[in-house]
Amino acid sequence: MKPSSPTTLQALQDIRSLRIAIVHPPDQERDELLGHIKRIGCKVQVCWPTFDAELHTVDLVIMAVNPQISACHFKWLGQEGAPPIIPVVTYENPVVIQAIMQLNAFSVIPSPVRSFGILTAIAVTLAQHKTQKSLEKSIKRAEEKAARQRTIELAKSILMKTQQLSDEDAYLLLQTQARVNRSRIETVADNIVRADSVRS
Amino acid sequence: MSSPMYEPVKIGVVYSTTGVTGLIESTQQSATLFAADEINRAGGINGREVQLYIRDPGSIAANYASMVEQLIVEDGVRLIMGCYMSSGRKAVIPVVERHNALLFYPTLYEGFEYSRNVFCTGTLPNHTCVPLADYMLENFGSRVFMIGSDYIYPYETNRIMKDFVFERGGETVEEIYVPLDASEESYRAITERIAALSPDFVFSTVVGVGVERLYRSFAKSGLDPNAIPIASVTTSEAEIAAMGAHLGEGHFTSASYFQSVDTPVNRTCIENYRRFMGGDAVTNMCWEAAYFQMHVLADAMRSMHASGSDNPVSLLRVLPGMEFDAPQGRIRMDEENHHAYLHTRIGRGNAFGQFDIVGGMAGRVRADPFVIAHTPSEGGRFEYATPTVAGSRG
Repeated sequence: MKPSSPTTLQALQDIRSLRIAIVHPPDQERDELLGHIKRIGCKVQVCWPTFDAELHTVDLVIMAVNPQISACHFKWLGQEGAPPIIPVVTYENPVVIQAIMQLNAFSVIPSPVRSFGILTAIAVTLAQHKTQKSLEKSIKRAEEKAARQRTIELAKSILMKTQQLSDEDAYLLLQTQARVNRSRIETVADNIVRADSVRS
Repeated sequence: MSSPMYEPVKIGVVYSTTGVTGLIESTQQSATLFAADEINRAGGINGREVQLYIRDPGSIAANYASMVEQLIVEDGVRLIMGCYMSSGRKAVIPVVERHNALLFYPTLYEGFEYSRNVFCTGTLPNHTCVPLADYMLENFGSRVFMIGSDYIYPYETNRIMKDFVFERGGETVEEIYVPLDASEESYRAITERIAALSPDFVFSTVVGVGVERLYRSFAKSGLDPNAIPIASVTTSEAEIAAMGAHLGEGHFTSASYFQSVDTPVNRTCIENYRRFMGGDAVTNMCWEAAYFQMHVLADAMRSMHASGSDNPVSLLRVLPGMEFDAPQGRIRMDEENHHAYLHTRIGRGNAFGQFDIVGGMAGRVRADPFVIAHTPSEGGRFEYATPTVAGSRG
């Protein structure tokens, strides 16, 4: 038996608690956006002409995109914990599409804005953003693990050479050292590698 | 008498005669009046008179939308001729889609658009920019200075030009965008910059009142078009007439039509237009598209036997594939993309405010609104011409 899980995905359940910042000039399209996001039930704040909200108070940015934007550099965009962006686009040509790609968007809201599609864009963006974040995390973890493995291999080969040990015995020695010193095997390996690099 | 068979055919005409693009759009309005007059003189459309509903949106995008909506809702118009800048067209599209009306758009633009309710009869970058890039890079070199008005069209057009310059191992020495209503001083600062950088040529996507300011500043900065010409796809006879022939002389424009196109159809058309306007009127590429799209529409309605219906649903069936002997040559409405097969010519401004045609494509070129990576026009199809100067030397 599979463990029971809620029928509705967490990403969808979370939508009502979202804090959205809208970066859009004041016009009919913005009214349409604001109206529908309020209907959906998210908290919303308007920023114009620049995104001036505190990063940690925003979960999602909905931003009007024009070709001029490709020349802009958004400092907050690359920052740790930066919220995902949904661009609002009037034109669908290569300069604008390139600008959207620079913003790392997962979906867009076409302008003139219609209520249909906004909820899906928000949900897909949040889910993809979450997936990307966890992917980035596991890649980082895997990279760290690979680095540790490399250090252990290096330490082993140093021991094999200096103490004429077999591969297996070198590893056993590292393990024993770690137990005696109450430290991790990679810490012991790291010390050996450092010491060796000082000697040579 | 109340039978729809004898009721006039209502056509909305939404070109600006005031505001930043009023000059060129006025010629599109005149072309529409002229074509309507021709159609009515020839007995209308299956006996129905063409009745024009003329509005002036003043070059403001939102006005195009509200005026078109008003024409549809209050006057019962279902066919609209109009728009120049992309911003205006963009505003009108949702309106014609909502009410199932048709917009006929006779202006060059950047492409990447298809609406069931819009037909585009002006050129796309694949018609004009590609051959112009070929011609200029071949004849002048590949250090290019780009200047455009600050809206979507110049950005997208410059993207294409930059790709070509890059492929040739050339260099975009600078890329500048100016507000649509920028002052002559701002242009003067830019032309001084051009003089300092000394590129091989300038690629301009400036539109509206800025065109005259750019070319005047260019001359005032002491720049010589023989050394550093301006290449454009927007500067037409209309802008040159406004600024004076001496300022346009030696600069290049790529277009589907020039007044100097030396064919019987064009000569007769210009003669009749002058009679209609009662003077020495000048024509241009936007004028020509505005003119022929009226006749294409009239022919489409005539081809539907019964009453020459103006029902958009019926027109959508007959317009694709229609051909017409336009002043530029025979054109064809594409079967699939609501754009047109058009001719391509490169003209060099002469001392009479006209263009000497120095090259062109051998046949009609299909509109390709969604091409991202353009390929240079194959050498064989591009033809250099001995200059023709019809209509310029009295």
